[in-house]
Amino acid sequence: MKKRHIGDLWPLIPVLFGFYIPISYVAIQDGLLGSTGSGAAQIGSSVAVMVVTLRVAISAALLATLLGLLDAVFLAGTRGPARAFIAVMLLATFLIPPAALASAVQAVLGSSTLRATVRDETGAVVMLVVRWAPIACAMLLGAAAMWPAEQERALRGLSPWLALLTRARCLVPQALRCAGVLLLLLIPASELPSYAGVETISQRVHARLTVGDVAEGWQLALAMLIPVVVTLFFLTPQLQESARSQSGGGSQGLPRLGRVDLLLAIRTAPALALIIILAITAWPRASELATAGSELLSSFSGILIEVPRAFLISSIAVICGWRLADGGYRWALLVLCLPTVLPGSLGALALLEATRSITPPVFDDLPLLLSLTQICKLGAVGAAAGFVAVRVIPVAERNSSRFLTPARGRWRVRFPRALPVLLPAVVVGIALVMGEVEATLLLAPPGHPAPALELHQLLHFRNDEQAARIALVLAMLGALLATVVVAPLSRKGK
Amino acid sequence: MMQANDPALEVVDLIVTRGSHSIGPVSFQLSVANQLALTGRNGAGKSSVLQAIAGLLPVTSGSIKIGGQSVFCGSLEREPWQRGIDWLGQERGLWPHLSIEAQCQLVARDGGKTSGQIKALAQLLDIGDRIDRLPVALSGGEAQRAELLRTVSGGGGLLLLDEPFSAQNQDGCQRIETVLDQECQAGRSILLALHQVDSERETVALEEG
Repeated sequence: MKKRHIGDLWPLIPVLFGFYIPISYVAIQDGLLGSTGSGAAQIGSSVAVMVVTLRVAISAALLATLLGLLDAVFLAGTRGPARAFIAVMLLATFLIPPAALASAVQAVLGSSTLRATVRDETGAVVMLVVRWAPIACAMLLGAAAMWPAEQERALRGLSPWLALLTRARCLVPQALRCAGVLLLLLIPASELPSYAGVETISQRVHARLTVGDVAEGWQLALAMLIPVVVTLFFLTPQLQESARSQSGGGSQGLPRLGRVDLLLAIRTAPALALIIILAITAWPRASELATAGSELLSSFSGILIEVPRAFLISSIAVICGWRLADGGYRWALLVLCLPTVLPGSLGALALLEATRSITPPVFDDLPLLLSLTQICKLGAVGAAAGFVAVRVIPVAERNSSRFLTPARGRWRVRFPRALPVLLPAVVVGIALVMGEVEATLLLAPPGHPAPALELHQLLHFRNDEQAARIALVLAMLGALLATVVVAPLSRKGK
Repeated sequence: MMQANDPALEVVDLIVTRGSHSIGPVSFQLSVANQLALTGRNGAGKSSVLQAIAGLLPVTSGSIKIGGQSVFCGSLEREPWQRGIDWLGQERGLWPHLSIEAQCQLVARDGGKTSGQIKALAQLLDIGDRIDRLPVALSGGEAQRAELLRTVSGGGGLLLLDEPFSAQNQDGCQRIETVLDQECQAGRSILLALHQVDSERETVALEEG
């Protein structure tokens, strides 16, 4: 490998120091992976949990992709009233923290529906689909927005329903990739399934690492890598560059279809219901107005303090992913992705243990370790955004930029062209950081404002009204952020 | 300093593979301040050879020298920006977020044309009043001439032009010819891929396969 290439791998620095080095240090220090015989037996006892995890993750990934595909085809292929509002509502359910989402879904369906033996998993799948379908929709809307102008114009010459069917068929390859990416992100899911009473492998790893047999936690985490590696194996050949160009068609020429408008209006119902439920629950009694007002103000200021940190973390993760994708370093991207698909507690605890003796006390009050862990957890978001951002630039444009010096071509030509993809990815990253509980629980310094953790604890102690107030503020922030995601896609979505 | 009869480009036994299709071996030479056209049927591999010389397509075997320096030979492979080339592709590659003038100035930074020279060339190409515009505000023919303007604004000694006349009417073709002649007189060498046989230039005909 040339020296220039080694220098180009600087985006891996956060993930090396935040994940791989601490993990290796702790594994070697404690000899955690030594007893392979007993390890195999312990993993054997967790096979049932692994099967449940995979079943839930696969079902949720496929259903979320299917729903996202329908949403994307309807939004990209027709025009009608209030499309920007509909798109914001469709994306809002992802940007609302999981705890608030679970609370609202359980309030609508009833907790008992989610408690029976088989329906436990159904409940987990429903919540995961509600949360992740917007991401599938956004990815596929992005893919539809990249169709070459002539293909798009040709589609507008077909009869409306045939055009929609053709659009759906055109999006099937991207939808399969999207399902693969969602599967990678859903395998380590632990919070939402826990609200439906489903134990996933991530939860078991967390439990073993914190209060049980640490070695078993490590071995289970390693076993989790098998489905992850298999998924990555199928995804990697799909990550090749291809010629694409932005369509400049706008909404002129797209059909108006009343039935599609109705379907899209129905699709906004979950998000609207969620916000209405939160608003009703959050509404204080007359005697509690002053207290509720101060609580709302305090949660609002806590969230405002946390947003810049979330922005910084998300930006670093996304720029690292884009830089590696732009350089064509596929294996480095896989290295970047891996911490995302392992339980958050694994990296957080390893980082804590590896740095405990060398960190100066002054750092105890700063969220440095938390931020580093969250950057590592956003690796897959950065990598995915990087891939898409590289693919949206037509080959002819990219080739022209290769005759400039590398830095000039990258930052003056390709980076500005990638921004329509990178900015929504940063917003998605902000939402994930704001809703993250696992690492925050372990690494947040005392007194650090953590709305998602506060929400989690309030729901745990059944303080629904106060929880709803925080969730409502987060939901409003989510809707605001969703407009940033929708803006680049609105060309087709109007 | 390169002299008039020195080779600006030497291609020896070049074999390029595109998918399952192999092109070559191809050998030819282009002298300094001259023009050479690669011609052939659709699918003969004109664009592939040009892309391989530019470093945009992997080369299976052979050697490429530009300005007397080897840019591809065995394990040695220089990056496109290190080859001293200015490139015009077959498909439109204007960067949509920058005005034409900004794009020309960007590529001209390393010993390319001055601002005044760019404006004069723009006048010659009949886009003098449009170089402050974004590419989206240009017609197909104007966009192609604007991209040619960006290409000649660079400081490379070798211009690689893939079908530079494809979207032009007679007047546009004439203007492009004038600019290319002017660049040749200034000491630059030009390799073109052309669909039609050109009687005014030295040509190398590529056979399919």
